[in-house]
Amino acid sequence: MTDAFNYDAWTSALERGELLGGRCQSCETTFGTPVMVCPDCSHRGLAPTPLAETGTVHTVTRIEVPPTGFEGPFFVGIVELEDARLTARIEADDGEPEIGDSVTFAGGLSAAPDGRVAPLFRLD
Amino acid sequence: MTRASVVGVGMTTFGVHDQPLPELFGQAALDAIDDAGVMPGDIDSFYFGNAMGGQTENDTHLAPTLATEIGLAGIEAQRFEDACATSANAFKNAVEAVDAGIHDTVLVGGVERCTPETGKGTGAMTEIFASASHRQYEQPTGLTFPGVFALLTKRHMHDYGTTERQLAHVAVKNHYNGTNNPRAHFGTETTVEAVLDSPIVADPFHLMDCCPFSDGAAAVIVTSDDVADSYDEPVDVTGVGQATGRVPLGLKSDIHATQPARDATATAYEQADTTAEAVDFAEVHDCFTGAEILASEAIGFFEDGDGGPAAEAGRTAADGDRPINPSGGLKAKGHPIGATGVSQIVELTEQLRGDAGARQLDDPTRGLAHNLGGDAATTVISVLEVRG
Repeated sequence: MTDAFNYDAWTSALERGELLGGRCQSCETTFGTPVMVCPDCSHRGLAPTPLAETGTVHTVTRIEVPPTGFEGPFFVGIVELEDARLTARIEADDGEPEIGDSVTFAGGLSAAPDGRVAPLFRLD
Repeated sequence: MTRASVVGVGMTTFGVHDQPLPELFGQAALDAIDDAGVMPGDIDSFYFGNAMGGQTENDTHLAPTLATEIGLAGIEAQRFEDACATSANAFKNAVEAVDAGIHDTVLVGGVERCTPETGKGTGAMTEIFASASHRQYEQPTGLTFPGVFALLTKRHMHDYGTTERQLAHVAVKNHYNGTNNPRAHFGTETTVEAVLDSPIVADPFHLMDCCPFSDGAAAVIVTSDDVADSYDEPVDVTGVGQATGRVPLGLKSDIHATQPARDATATAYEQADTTAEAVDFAEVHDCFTGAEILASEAIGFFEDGDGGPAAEAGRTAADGDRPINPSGGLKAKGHPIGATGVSQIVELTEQLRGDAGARQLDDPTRGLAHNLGGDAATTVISVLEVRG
């Protein structure tokens, strides 16, 4: 039995600049974040798998009124990486990210006041 | 088939209140008790909703405190928390208990304070509301609740061509309805231009696309079908469906379907042996204008993609063919989180009794309440009817 793929494994990888998803060893679906039981087939135990580091913007918003402790405005979106999706920060040097745009993984971002890390993508 | 009946309703104004939670709730509860004419000794149990009192006011374990305030200490009492679907879930559990014969008569209600009366400003309250998104996989991005519904709505706009102008029409309609509701937080009309000119909160939502932070309370008395005949104006609960969906957003397969609303609607319609076509009006969870568009499709009032054009065409206005949120909805009536679900039941009951005053619809016989929590991952759908 390998170590469980859990929040600690996911976030530790993100802090190292790696993006891991969970792959169901039964139905072979890949998810962007860990979960103990496969949402699709109820198999227990997802294996860590490197996610594609380029993908597309599934949806995105520009947050102008952030929670306490965050500096706004910023973009949050759902990125689609092959068949996996996850919620991430999206940065753009010019313009605004839009649905369908290509993005590339750019490491973990510690923007939260408690230092917790979130995936960061950059507009290609 | 009748699962339970609503025999009394009470509700405070929604807006800014300086009373503590027990006194605020007490007003709504005593009004509901008086409206029903129920003897306190006949109330068997108390189903209560409050979502965030621990975070906003350092106030928890409220069920016995509130029961004591209104002279009901000693009976069973339980508190529910399901984000914005908090008190609809209390209502669902109450209906199920009465339907199962466990109780004859129960008090159901909710209370919340979200305005700066709590000592918390917009930034702090935005942070507290964000606690309903995934702690590990969403909160670190800085995602807010306007942001959550912005993500769902942006994808709907992309897939179906829904426009910001159509969203603004939802706000205009609900503000107009609010002018006819003496309990509404906002009693003033607005215009499409005023909505579109207001500052962005999370695009596509402008400030005027968002419901306010409100304080308030709502309560209803629910009885069994048998007991209901001894009251003056019972309204029957014929269906209550509830469903959940995956959290976080990245695990959902179709984010703007709000699938739990569709699943809960199917359950409620099946119990009530009815269809969307036979429902005369709905109170839906318009925390943001886009949420009303998604809800209007999820409950079957419109085909997928037709919700935006229907709002712009006036079909959801009080005098339209598919009235939605005659109360003004969360947008104008206000949204004290834990009170919202039961306040929808209050509106349905008053409309079905013909007691809705200036906002009374034309003789409705069947209404639906849609109350969602979080990113719509909890949704409760209730169908109420004029007693046959």
